[in-house]
Amino acid sequence: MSSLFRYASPVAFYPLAGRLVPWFSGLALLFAIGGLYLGLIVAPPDWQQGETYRILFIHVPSAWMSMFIYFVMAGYAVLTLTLQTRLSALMMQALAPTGALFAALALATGAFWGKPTWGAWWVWDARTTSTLLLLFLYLGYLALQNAFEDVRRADRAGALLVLVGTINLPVIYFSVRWWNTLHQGASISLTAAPSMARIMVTSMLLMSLAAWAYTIAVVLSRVRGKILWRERSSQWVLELLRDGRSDGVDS
Amino acid sequence: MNPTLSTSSDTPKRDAFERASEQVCEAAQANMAAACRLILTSELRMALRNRTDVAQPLIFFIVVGSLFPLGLGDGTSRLTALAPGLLWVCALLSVLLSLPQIYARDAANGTLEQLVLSPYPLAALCGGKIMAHWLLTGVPLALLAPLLGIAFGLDFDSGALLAVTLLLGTPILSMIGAIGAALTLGARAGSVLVALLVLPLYVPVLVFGSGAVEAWRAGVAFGGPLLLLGAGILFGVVLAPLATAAAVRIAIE
Amino acid sequence: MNLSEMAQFGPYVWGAYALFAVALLIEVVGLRVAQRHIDAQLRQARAMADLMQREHGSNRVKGEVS
Repeated sequence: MSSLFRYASPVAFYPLAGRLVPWFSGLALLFAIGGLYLGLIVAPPDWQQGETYRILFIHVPSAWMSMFIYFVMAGYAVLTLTLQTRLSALMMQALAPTGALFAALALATGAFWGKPTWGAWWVWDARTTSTLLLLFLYLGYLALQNAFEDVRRADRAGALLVLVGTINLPVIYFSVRWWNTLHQGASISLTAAPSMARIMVTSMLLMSLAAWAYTIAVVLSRVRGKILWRERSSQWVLELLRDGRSDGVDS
Repeated sequence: MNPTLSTSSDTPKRDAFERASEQVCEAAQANMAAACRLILTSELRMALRNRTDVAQPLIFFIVVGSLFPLGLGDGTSRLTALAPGLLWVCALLSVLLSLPQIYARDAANGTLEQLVLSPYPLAALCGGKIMAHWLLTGVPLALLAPLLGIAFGLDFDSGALLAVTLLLGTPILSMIGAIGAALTLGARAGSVLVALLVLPLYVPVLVFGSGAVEAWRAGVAFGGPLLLLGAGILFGVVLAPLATAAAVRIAIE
Repeated sequence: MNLSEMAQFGPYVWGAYALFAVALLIEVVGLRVAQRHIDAQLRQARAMADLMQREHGSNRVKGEVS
């Protein structure tokens, strides 16, 4: 197992990440093609919602990934604060933009689904409001990262913020759900997905796997850039520059 | 001494150890209480000397509260309907405004490093600061809100319930806010950054606080959110000083 | 189901998918741009460091202090 811990150092992780990026990119493409083929071409129109339900094939994976990424960030935050490893902080910073993007996409695709379904671009129901607040948590983290000159302080302050946010997330979701029932008397669950045929579920699963593989590819690629910049005064980066191998996503 | 814990051969050593650990525990508790008391008295004394600093968030509360009728038109029924939520948001913003003050002075004159290096547990010192902030900001806001509510046409019972929700909610606001203030000490655009970090975390407090008053006015059960706020205080009392101390350490090092 | 029926998806479905694709594209392209930018900055920093070292070294040899 000690050989695996070797990859906790940025020097060893950099080339490993570089080798993994093309694989996960390919996986993402495969899953996406499969999911889109099943979801757009094979799956029939829903008897209740017609064609608009197909938006769920990108809406649901976006929402799942935005939450999942935040929890992965929380894991790295724990590592940053306890083990003080630089790589965990860099992974956290690499995850945040993609998480924010998926949260924003979840909101946007949800709006495109909501307009034909409920007649409104935006409703203040529990899930949309919680996703909006999650987006704010991401944006706050990104703002905090850029607010300090001292990178070590930015790392650790960001990690603490992510942990505080993680503890608060269930509270936020629960409170928004309660608020929703209070103000709209919703026995109608506005965000209930239609009961789905198996082919639709399969397609949703494939698209979620595609989103997950895409996230890994993008985050690994982003963290390589961050590693290079953070370690720019060290010998191995110098050699990498001299050999001309620091450019490009795939090297 | 607990006879069932000790064996005959090392009874004297075990008794001594138990006595020593009891003494350490008592000393630690006394230490924490002393630390809290120390910070509390010093903060309150500073507040007496800088009365305008303390009054500013409260004046802000009244000013912003007065903006809403100007913005919404003075149709009293609409204002009365919106009053609990509006007053809660105004209180929230006022607390937000007062957050940088928690650490600004101490960070500027080097007292913060002294606190970190002192023999007192930093979490207890931070807890004292949070309590002082609540006494100076949260409690006055809770008492002012029903008065401002009169201008909104809020009746006495709703106003009283509003004050109760604020009394229960503002400790949580102070606790979360102190963590945010410590995290953003000395950062660029600090006060806006604190707002951005802390406002999503404030949402549950806002929801339960104003929701309780709304529920009461709608004739629905309102005890739930109040209990949840109380639970939040208990939760925060344990966790917030630790998190704040960690944030202060990160800021100092 | 054949492809001609896909035209009946409607603007909302196409709008959502287009937005999704554009967003991901922007992210990937942005990453590449960032990589080039980091690389350029690294090379520039390295070049300046080498230049300064060379100047400093030569000054020392000639005994001048600039």
